[in-house]
Amino acid sequence: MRILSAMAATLLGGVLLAAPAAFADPARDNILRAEAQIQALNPADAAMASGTDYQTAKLRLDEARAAEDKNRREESVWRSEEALLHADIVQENIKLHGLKRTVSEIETGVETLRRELNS
Amino acid sequence: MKNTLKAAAGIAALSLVLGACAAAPTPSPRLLAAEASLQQAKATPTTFESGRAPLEKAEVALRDAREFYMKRDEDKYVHAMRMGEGYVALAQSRGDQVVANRKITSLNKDRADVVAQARTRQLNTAEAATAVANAATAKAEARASQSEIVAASAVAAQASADTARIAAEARTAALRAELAGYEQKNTALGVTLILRDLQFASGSSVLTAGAQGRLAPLAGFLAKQPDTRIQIAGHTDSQGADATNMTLSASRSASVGAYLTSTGVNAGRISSVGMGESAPVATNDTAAGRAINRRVEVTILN
Repeated sequence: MRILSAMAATLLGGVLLAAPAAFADPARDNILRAEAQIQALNPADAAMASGTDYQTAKLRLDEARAAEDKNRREESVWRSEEALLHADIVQENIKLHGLKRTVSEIETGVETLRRELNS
Repeated sequence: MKNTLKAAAGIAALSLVLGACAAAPTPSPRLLAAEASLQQAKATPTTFESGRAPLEKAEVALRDAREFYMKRDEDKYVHAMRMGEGYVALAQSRGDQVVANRKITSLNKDRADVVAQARTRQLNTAEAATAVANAATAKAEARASQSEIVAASAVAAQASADTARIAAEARTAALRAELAGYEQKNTALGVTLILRDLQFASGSSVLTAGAQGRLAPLAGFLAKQPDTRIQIAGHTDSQGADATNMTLSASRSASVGAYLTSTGVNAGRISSVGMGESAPVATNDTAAGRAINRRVEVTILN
């Protein structure tokens, strides 16, 4: 009897643990992640550093939402994955833009110093 | 029969090969370009090092894209292409960041070098400026010393002048005291003694005995002041002819001079002049005025 009870409990536990996975919605999760990632970007920096990718990321997110609304799950996942990837590219290009600006500033500073030194 | 079968088999095999060739489409230019970008990114050390993970994902995605393209699965091909291109772009951005970071490091070193050079030059300039300033200070001090000498000389000259002035004043005071018996006035030439009461023999220039006594203090003074020079001027009133008065005044002043010479005063210290009636000091219309105008003035020259 005890053995039967233990087995029943184990089965119930397994069902409870599996439930969230069974109810998970990859398309919806991807859309939420892409939304969060795009919203985290500074629009001005994003537009300046990587305008096309920023627009593409937002476009793909819109397409993902539209596919989700039409219950085209696979397409929604693909578009949200693409949106996430473009948001990543924008993030990296913002960093690159900042570094290039720093390079330019230091170059100007060094040039000015050299000019002053030789004047 | 055997040959016929062989030919049929060959035709069938050729058909299969040709059919397969017709079924496999040529990769799209977009796919070829993406694959080329991937190869280029992998060949670039900075991109390869910093973008290893995205490059691996790009490789998988582009392989899938080629497969989907061959299968003419448009939707999957497009997604795989987008992911492959995106991962390559991500890897390139990270590689470019590494390049930029290295450039910043190099530039910071350059800047430090230039700053060090600037500091060295600034130091040298400051030292040179200090040397110039020190030289200028030394020169200024020398000038100051010179100025002090000049100033001291000026002070000494002033002191000397003051001493001379005080001595002159003292001498004048002594002279005034010694010659207090004479009427005196200061003129531009010196102190002038006015003798109105000298008696001459009437109509002549011969001094009376009383007149000689009147001149005795002056003679004594001149004896004690061997460097003093005098000028004697004779004056008459307006009675008589001008020429006569001129001659009379000249002879009377000469007579005074002759007397003083006779007391031992060197003749070279004495000059005499006749002024006649040309320089009256009172009216000639009255006897009193004429008495004032008749006089001998002895100026002790400065």
